[in-house]
Amino acid sequence: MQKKMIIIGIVAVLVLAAVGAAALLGGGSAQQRTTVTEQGSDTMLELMTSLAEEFYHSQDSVQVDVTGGGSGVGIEALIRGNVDIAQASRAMKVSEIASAHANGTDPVEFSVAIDGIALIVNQGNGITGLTIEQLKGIYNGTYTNWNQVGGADQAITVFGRQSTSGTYEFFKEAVMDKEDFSPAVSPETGNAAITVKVQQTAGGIGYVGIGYAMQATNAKIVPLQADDEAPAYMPTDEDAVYNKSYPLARDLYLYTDGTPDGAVKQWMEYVLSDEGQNIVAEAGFYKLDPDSLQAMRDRLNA
Amino acid sequence: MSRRSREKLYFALFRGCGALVVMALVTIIAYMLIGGIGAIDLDFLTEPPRASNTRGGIFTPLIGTLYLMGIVAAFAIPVGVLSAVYLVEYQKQGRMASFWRIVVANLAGVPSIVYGLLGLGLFVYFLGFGRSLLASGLTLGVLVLPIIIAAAREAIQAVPPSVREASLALGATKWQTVRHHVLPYAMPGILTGVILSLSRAAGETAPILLTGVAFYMSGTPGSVFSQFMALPYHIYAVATQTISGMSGNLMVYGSALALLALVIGMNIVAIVIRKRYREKYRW
Amino acid sequence: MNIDLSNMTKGLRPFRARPGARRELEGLPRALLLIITLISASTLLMVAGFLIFNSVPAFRSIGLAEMLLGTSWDPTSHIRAAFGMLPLLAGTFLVSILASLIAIPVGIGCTIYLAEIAHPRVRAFLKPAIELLAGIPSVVYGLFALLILQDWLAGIFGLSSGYVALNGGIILAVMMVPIMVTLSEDAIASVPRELREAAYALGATRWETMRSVVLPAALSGIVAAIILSIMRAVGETMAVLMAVSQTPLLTLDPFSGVQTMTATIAIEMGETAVGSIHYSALFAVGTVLFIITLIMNTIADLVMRRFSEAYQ
Repeated sequence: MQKKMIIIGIVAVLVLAAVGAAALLGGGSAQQRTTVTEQGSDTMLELMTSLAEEFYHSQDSVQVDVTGGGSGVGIEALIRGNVDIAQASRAMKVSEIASAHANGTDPVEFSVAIDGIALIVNQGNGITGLTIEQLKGIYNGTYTNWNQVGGADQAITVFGRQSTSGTYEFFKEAVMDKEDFSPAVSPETGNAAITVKVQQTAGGIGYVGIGYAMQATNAKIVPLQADDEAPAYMPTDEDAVYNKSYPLARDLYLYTDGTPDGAVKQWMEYVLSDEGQNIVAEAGFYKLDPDSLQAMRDRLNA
Repeated sequence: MSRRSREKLYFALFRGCGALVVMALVTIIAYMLIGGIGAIDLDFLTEPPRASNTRGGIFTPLIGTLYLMGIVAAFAIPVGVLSAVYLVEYQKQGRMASFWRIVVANLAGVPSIVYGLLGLGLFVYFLGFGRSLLASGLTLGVLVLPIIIAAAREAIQAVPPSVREASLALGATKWQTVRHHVLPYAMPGILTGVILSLSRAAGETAPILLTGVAFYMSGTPGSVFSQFMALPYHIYAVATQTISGMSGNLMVYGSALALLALVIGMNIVAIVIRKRYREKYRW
Repeated sequence: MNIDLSNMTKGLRPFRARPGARRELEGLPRALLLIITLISASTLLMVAGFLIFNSVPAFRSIGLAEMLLGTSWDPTSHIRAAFGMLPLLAGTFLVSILASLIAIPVGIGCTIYLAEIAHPRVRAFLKPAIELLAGIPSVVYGLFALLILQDWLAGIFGLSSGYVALNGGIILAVMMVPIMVTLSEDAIASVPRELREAAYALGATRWETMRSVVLPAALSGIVAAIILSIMRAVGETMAVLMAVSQTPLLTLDPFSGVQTMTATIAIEMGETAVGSIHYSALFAVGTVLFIITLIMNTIADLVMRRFSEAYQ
């Protein structure tokens, strides 16, 4: 009886370990694909995952692993040579490029999609528009009630992103004028978290990539004015995003180490292909305009 | 209030506490079950995730978790059990012995995120494994080591000295005694510890977050130096990075249910082994 | 004692080998085992060494007092990066205290029920059930708090958002109870039967016996169990990360979001350039966390030892 138990137990453990080991070896031989590793922006996670999935089925020699963490995480990993590609929702900083060169990495920038960061509020919120100045006041803690910016008497609950986020950095540059966020801004780890929390919170406001704002059900996008004089624009307004008259329009980037070749190039070609750009649109972001697209394709073949 | 009725009152209070704890267990499992049971079928277990992890199955994360358990087992079982053998059979009682005891007890209390920091600094950067299965597996291996050592030590200590004395009296060496007489008797106890620690490793999220888990992979890891998907992180990622996941979709509850089934299943096996073992041997 | 005699005969086998060869072999396992033990035991030193080594730059450039007592944690500020750990310490303290306030009474009540009141058949079912509760991965608790518990809280307290410190406190309490119950039940069970019998013989009721004899006798074991379960709350990452909006506010308001030390490391680590002050500061947070758990562990150990000395 005792022996039987021991044997059963040992077998159970060995089977588990063996499944792991065997699958590891078997998996290695069954799949001859080259792996491209990509890390960075959480805003681009859904987009890149969709692209990676379709790419996987479109050919049989390359697979792409996508990891989040934030644009800063991806850029840092690229600098250290830990990943093939960094996905970033902001451009690399001068300091980061210098650090890359010091580490023997030569980052090459590719715009792959256009995003308009959307300011979303709860569906029940009566606010009809905000200026960048008001937005800054909300995020630095000057305004704590919606009636201070033309809304109803209700406390503002502010959702932002964690500091590793490219959206956080971009927002800080474009809106905060280098001022600090109020500590009351809750640093969420993803666009989805912000969207859902704004949906649940009556006085909530948050900034998310347009692809996420489009999926929101109980939240609406607030039109933004660059200043009191300027007209208000929505991030859903394609023209305003393309010509950057929407104040929070931005490019989404992939960074490679040097001009890509081999598997990385194959993947980049797919992202910049018409098929890839259609997936960009399906994910709720904007395709590159034809001129930029051509420029990126040329850069790929430089 | 009479002494009897006071006793009744207090006892009712304590019963209430017991009921509350059971309710918590039942509520959590019920929510996962109701939310996720609709997702569980063969396809869910054998299909990779699709549409940004919002549809499809959990094949890739499940395989990643099994790989991790394999690496943890390969590292932590031999190291843990042999350490316990040394501590019980070879280490002389005294200052050194109580030092080891304190070290193991303290290791068990270190927060998992701190092990993540160790894994990031040591395995990912210093030893250059990168963000990989190996780095995460070893990090988790170090994390469960104290559990295995404690369980194995307790099991070996429970083998009565008379067994050893009889073996030694017949001329067996110390190592032969340990191998042929002590370890077989201690095996059920060791096994319980091993299974519990593997289930702990399967459920840990924070350490792998820092050391190598990926949000999405089209295929399974090619080698121990590949990144991987893992079930617990998959739950976290789907719940916080996709709107449908954070609204509680089938995918997220289904993944949670699968992880619960894996972990609770292993726990039940461990409990059963221990129970049988306790009934079997009363020294 | 029932020992399978067939196993004993295995001991005879060595006589077939040359005795000399046997003795040579004997040194080998011993040395090997020692090396392996040193490897596993050195992990604690390795963890400590690594944390301290990596956090020294932060402590040196920011200053120990500023890091531990600074009231602002804003490592990415363009104006002046601040690395004050106080808001993080307060966040960890707040969720742990809330969890303890719930878990300690419930846990002790449940322990007493389990140890003294429950019918043996209920006990046989309840004990493993509580162990299972301890085995549930923290991410599942986190998911429950993220999707369901926060909704209940927002409804009950009329909050605009349910991702508050209390949400984390409740879910941590659920995670603390099983540890506390399992450990303190052991303590109660090991109170010698003679003590109880003496109390009954003097005419005490079951509750009086428990309150005046059993619980005081088991007290140090129970206290150790409480400390160890609080340690679980302090060190937990995923559940608080998912349950609470991580805002680095210096507050003790249970209806506010707070940022815990563990979640800070999970969110911010990785972005930071290796060797930067921020990277080092996160290791410093890890070091402080590590020291807190070492201290709690040592206290629990001392308390526990007093207990086992009293009854052996």
